[in-house]
Amino acid sequence: MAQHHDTHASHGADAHESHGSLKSYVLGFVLSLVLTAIPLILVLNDIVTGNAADVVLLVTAVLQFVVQLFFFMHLKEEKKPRYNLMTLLLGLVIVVTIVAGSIWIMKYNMVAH
Amino acid sequence: MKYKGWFLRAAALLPLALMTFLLSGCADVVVLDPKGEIGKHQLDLIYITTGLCLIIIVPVLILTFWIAWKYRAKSKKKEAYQPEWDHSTKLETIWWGIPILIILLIAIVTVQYSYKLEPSKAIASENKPITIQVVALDWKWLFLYPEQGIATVNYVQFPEKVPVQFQLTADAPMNSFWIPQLGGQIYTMSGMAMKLHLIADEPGGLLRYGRELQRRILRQDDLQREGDVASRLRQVGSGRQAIVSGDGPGRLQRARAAGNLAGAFVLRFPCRFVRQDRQQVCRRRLRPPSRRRSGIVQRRRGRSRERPRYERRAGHERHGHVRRGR
Amino acid sequence: MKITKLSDFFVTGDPLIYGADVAIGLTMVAIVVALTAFKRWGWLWREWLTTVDHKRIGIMYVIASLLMLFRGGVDALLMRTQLALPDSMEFLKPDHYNDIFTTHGVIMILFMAMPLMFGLFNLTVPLQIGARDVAFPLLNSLSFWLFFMGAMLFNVSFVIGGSPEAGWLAYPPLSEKMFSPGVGQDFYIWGIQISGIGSLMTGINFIVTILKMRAPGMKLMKMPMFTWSVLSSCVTIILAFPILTVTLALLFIDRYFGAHFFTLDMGGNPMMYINLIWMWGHPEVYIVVLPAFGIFSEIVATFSKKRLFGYGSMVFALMSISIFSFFTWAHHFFTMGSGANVNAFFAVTTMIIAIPTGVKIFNWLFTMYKGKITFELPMLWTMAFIPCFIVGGMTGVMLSVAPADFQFHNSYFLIAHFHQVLIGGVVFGYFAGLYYWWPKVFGFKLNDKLGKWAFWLWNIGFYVCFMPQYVLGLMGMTRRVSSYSWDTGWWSWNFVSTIGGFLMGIGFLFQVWQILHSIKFMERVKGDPWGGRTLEWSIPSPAPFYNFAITPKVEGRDDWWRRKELAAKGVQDPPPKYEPIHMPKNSGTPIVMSLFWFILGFGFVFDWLWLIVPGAIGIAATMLYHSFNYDTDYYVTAEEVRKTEAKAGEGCLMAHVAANQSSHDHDHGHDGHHDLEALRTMGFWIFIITDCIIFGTLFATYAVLMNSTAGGPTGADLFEMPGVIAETFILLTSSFTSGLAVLSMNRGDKKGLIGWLIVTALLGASFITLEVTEFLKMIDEGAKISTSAFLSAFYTLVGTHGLHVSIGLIWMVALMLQVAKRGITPVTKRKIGNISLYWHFLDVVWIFVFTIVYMMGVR
Repeated sequence: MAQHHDTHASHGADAHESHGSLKSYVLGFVLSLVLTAIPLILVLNDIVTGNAADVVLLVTAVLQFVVQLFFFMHLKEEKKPRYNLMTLLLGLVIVVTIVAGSIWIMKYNMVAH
Repeated sequence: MKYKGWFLRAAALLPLALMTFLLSGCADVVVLDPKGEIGKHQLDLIYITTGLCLIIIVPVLILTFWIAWKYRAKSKKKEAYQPEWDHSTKLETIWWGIPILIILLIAIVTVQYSYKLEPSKAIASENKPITIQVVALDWKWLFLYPEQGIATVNYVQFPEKVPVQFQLTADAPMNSFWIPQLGGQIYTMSGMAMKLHLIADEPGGLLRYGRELQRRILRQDDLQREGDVASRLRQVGSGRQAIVSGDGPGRLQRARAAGNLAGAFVLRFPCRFVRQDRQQVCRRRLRPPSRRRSGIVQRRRGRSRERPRYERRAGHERHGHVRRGR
Repeated sequence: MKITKLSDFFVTGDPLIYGADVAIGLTMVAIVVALTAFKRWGWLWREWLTTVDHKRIGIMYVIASLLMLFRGGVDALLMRTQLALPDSMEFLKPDHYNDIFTTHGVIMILFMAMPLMFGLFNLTVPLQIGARDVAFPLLNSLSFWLFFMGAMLFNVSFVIGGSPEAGWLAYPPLSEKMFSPGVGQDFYIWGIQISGIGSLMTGINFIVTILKMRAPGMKLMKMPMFTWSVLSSCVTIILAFPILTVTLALLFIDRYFGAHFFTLDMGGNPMMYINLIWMWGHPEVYIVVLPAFGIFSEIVATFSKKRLFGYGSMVFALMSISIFSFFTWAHHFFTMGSGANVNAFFAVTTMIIAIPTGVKIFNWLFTMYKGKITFELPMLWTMAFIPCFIVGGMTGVMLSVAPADFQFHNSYFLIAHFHQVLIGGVVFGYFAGLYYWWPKVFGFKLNDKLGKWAFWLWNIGFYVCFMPQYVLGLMGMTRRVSSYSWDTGWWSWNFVSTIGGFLMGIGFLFQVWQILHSIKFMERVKGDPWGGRTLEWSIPSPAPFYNFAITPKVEGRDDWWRRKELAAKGVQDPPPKYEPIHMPKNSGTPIVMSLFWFILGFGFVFDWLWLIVPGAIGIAATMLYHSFNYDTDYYVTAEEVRKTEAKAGEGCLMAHVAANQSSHDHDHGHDGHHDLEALRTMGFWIFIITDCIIFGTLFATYAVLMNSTAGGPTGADLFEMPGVIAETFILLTSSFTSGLAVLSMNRGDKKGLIGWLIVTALLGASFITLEVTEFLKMIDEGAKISTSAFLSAFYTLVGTHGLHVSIGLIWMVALMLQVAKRGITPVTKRKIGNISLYWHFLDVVWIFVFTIVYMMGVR
């Protein structure tokens, strides 16, 4: 019974599963290392300071996120309909709303002091 | 049938009686009868938005009942029946388009007024503004007049036609300060100083106080003290002060009779006031909660509900043990 | 909390509560006696407590919600009685009044509306889409039992410990330990938290069910509108509930660990709580109203015998309301002083939502136009909804105008508005749905005459109760007052309002009578008592446990209607060919796990480690048991299916009309057997997105509080970068090795898989070790979670991540054991794929922790 179940499921599982390759994982790893090293070096040694440092930090973080999405989590390989991508985008929109909205309301309001 | 006629007449009388009963308090619909510039603007806004909404609401209500009636299956008339008709671009355009337009209008008005009626925005006036600091304490309001050097508890008074700049805070749980007759409310929160600008345009009328404050019968000694406050405020503004009694027409008569209160916009809360220089803090004598009293416990409401400690104490006595918080 | 005497534990001093104690005790005894006398313990366990059948679960949800409607309604009537006459009356002391308005709100929204909604989801959606059950039947059962335990926890506060008093949303500082020292507030937190986890699971469950388990041929744009509304509501659920989870958790951390998120001192910011809770709170009301809209769509089409007008438009409206509801939350605190920019923005976004809502009304009206309308009970309730909701919507637009809202906020005008949309929209909608689908669930209709009495009493009662409240609001009466004086002029309106309340109460009693009467006297109906249009009406009533004997093949919208028309024209179909059906087994895991959650919650409320620890261990143990349990399904033989169908005795029409089906569909395997592993992968991905929201909320809190050091140490003082850098590289490497593990798995290399998993786990363990060391060092230096708001936020954000990693480690070990025992099978493949995804996710979160917390903090 379990095998019957498994064999049928394996058809589907193979069809839906995304196959990474060693290359993609290694590339993702190396890129992530680089994208971690850059802010470390630049910011901890005060090569960049102030707002520019914030920008560098955030940009490298977002880039590393995107790298991992594609190289580790194989986002591009999803078959249609791309429900995973849609859910992810929606989730990200909401996360940005939560963070930006909170900062806006709590920190830029008329209640000074 | 005789019985039927009688019954109908009685039935007709009922709504009439009900309306009389209900509308007897009609003059008290203070939001619709503002006494201050801010409140008046807010009322304008309410009328505009209601009007715009009704443009859609009324036809839709009529349409609802008309369609339901006309196309009911039990109808004797043979109405058209189009079971497969489920799309009309024209209709969709109309009922997306018109609401979008109406909302756009409301939105424009709203944005304009949001900036115009921002609470922290000062009110333009030829009179010099008066500053009143408001502190929401546990079950009382403290009003400090820094320029006049006085303070009152549960009682505030200010002249007509003078912009009042309230600076508000709270010592503990949040509350909300609202004078419906003059304009909108604002939260009072500990650790922050909120700003609210209001102005009273005229004397008279019934006042609704800030958050659910109980009123009590004005006593003679209070009148005298109010005179004190009034005289200090007389130097401010035109001298004529808006009088609003919080407790009904009778109060108004009595207050006028007292002579001193030619005009003062008075918020009356059941307590005496305090003279800051004398550092004598008014304390309402906390009588053991009686059936009547405990209602007053709810006096200060707002976003947070405080646990009335003297209620708890009553609990003590009843149960014979000390009940502390956990 | 130390209990030294009975009154520390039980609520004393109130006769009403003593009465409730007695009633509860007697009821429990009566239930035990009845079950024993009729020897039904086994039946109860097998048929109800361990069921994973969505129809049974739906029934349990509905029963629970109706009981909660009773309690919430009694609360309402108590309040209205108190308010009927001014302050001469003291029926309820102010203290007690506070308890009651708090419990009224929590119960009605979270323990009445939500479960009733989930009940309707469960009873209907799988039937509408031609599925045999939901995507995750066991998770479905767990959702119900978690809700049940959460509701129990909340309700028990009435008699044990004391009810919460700080309002249904528990604003700090009042809900902080300082001002609410009792346990009531903790009962509130845990009751809602546990129930909320169940809600989140249901959201995930139904999204996967609807997206992946539709009958062949049923494209998205051919689905019934109710199913669309469920999908839109569930999308909102999965995005909103994580915010609630975090916010309540932060409040609990304040109360339990002395943190300073929302306290008055040490940098705490109560406004942040209000901001966060309404970020959940506003989508929440759309969560409950969207399915009501779907119900109305179904009913209007069925009872007008006409297609639903503007299907595409309706779908667009549903989905846009679902998403836009996330951009409007600040309208709940216009008066908090956010400034004209914020207020203007949120006023406009709030108004915009009125547009799609209004469009739906037009679509319903034009569905009725040129139809043949009959007014059975479901249609009556729909007709009542339309005018009520329109007016409620209008007052909503009035409230959305920010400067005008300064005069309406927290007055009875607001109360009247939200009750109008909630009762007129949600309650009327769910009643309509219950009346509509009742025959499908139970096999008989509810009595019409009693139903009409209930309907008119409810409607008249509603208007009599709430229209005066608009006037009261304009007269300056504010919410949550327990009394007012005679000279406010409020008395007459309040008195009338109370009468209306009692009319609604009587209406409810009529409904109870109607249900009891109908159980006894109403005749059984066949599968399609209303002349329905959608698939659920094509099977017998009540539906057999496998729902569809043969998976239907769908060709258009309102497919059942189409097939009936074909049958009427005499189109014959070949007789059905039955095949074995794959069904999930019953399971005791959900109820057992939920009991452990109850124990854990109760333990946290009273701070009794002797309950907390066993509770936590029990939860972990049941989860591990479930992970190792591979015996979860079985097959129903074709013969049994044939017998059940024959017994349902639908007659010739069913046999012929029910045909036109695929007996063997290669796309989905036997009898519509769905690819379970794909379902589970998708479900897990959605869970990861909800986890994103959790971390997003924690990041937002951190961003707001990160400078609130209250004179204490800052990040620059505390953070030691070498350790943090090491942690970063360790975690990144472990993410890489988990990928290598997946690669080994794909090659079929079991040893490689386990080997790389071990490496990943060891790296993860070193990460945790470093982090714990870091925390201990900081605590040693005096930087505790209770030192400042900044530190509270820091420990919570980074600690939550660490907790995720730790749980991941336990899970990894469990999976290693499973792979070692069973090898690489599709099931283990899916599980490894999921944990690898989880691990990558945790590394991504760490990128942001590292950047925003450490790098920005240390500069």
